[in-house]
Amino acid sequence: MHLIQRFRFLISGSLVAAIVLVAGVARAESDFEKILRQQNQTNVQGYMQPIADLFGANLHSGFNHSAYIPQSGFHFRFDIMAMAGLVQDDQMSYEAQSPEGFTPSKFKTATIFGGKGGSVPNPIAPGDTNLAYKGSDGLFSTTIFPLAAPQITIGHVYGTEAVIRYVPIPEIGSLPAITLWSLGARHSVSQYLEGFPIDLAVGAMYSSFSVGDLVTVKGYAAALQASKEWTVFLIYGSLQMEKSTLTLSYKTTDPNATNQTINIDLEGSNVFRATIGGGLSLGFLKLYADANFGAITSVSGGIGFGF
Amino acid sequence: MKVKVILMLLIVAMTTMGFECVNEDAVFSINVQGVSGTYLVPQGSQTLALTTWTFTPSQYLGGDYGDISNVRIYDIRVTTAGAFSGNVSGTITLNNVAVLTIVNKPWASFSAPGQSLITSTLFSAPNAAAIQAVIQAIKSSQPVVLGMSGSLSSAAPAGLSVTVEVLGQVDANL
Repeated sequence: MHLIQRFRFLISGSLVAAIVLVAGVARAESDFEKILRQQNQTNVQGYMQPIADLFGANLHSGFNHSAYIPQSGFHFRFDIMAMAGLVQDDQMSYEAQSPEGFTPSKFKTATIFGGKGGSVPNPIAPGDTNLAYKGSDGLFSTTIFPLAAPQITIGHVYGTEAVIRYVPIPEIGSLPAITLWSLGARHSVSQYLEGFPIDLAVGAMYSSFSVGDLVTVKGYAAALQASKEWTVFLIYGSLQMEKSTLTLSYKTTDPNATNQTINIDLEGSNVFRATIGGGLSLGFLKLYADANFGAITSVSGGIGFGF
Repeated sequence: MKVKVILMLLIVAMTTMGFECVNEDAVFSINVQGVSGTYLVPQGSQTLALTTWTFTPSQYLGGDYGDISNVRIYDIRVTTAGAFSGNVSGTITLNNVAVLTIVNKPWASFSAPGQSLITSTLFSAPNAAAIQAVIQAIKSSQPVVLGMSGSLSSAAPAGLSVTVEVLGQVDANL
């Protein structure tokens, strides 16, 4: 299947496929891996860094809603979460390494979210494009980078609830297995602060996303959450520390590469965020949406069913 | 029913958000395998006999990259191995057309890491017509033939060799 068609199929074909654009990239591994394998470490790092930033930010979105957590009693809720990191202008280009001998030694070209790839002329014939060196075009032309995942919340024991996200997609033909899972817990702080006017909670979450043995993303987050509810209305906010790492592992066949074994850890740029949001509680149905401010600005929203 | 409608809308929204965001005409500039050959100079010989190496598309590309819209030859490198105090002259050909010549240059100056077309003054200017011809061959998925011939200023001692590498990039429409 043509790669672009495969992307479209992946992105439009099912909810599972909406996990992310990067999942689409990764599911086309047999083709995408070819591209990666021809790239040296420096250039892959620049090309893919925005994915690490945005995916890492998305992975930790949608975790903080109501900070009201009863001390005890059975609670179960199923949510469908959608998150979107906003692609910023400076994530559309990077400084790629020119081959040895070219001047300048670095040139500006597109990241995976950029437009046309830049090029650097060959010093022996600057006007001859047949001898130039060029960077790849961007793959996605978008200002948002989405992620969707199901989430289950179960509680309550001593004012604590567990949060689980899990999406397993088995290996299908040449397409590698994809697994997304997150495990978190939130604990009520309000239970220790009798009469405090707002609900407070602390939470932590660990997440992992893998595509075959080519791409893995792992990260964790810890947050202080606050919320206030009036009948069906909810407003909430949080301060969250987080860390995410996207790891690419492959053997390059780029003849320029000094090291054929590539193991790149791309650290997500989002390490702190402030979240503000609101929600509606309509009995069995919950709706919520929030905005997240940090190195990456993102929005998230969801629909939940539970009690 | 209302819940189902909302759920469906959400699913549709999520599954179509990225639908129009893929750059349909994106090209990926891939550093391909290129072509290379090593000529072992016979001991006592003063001539580097014309030698050719033929490469199929899968060999010089190193993979199947779909439609190739453009090709660039961004470097040619020559490296000698073995101790020799004399000079070397030679011609490098691509698809039987001379692309580069070396005229009476010190053998030792090509020792590892070798000489690059980009940074070296030891080569002639590359033959643009030959470059263009090989680019057309690659675009047409034709074989590429790398050739080398030349001479030494005196008889070769044992253990001499010359390696030629041609580095290229293709724009692939995956």
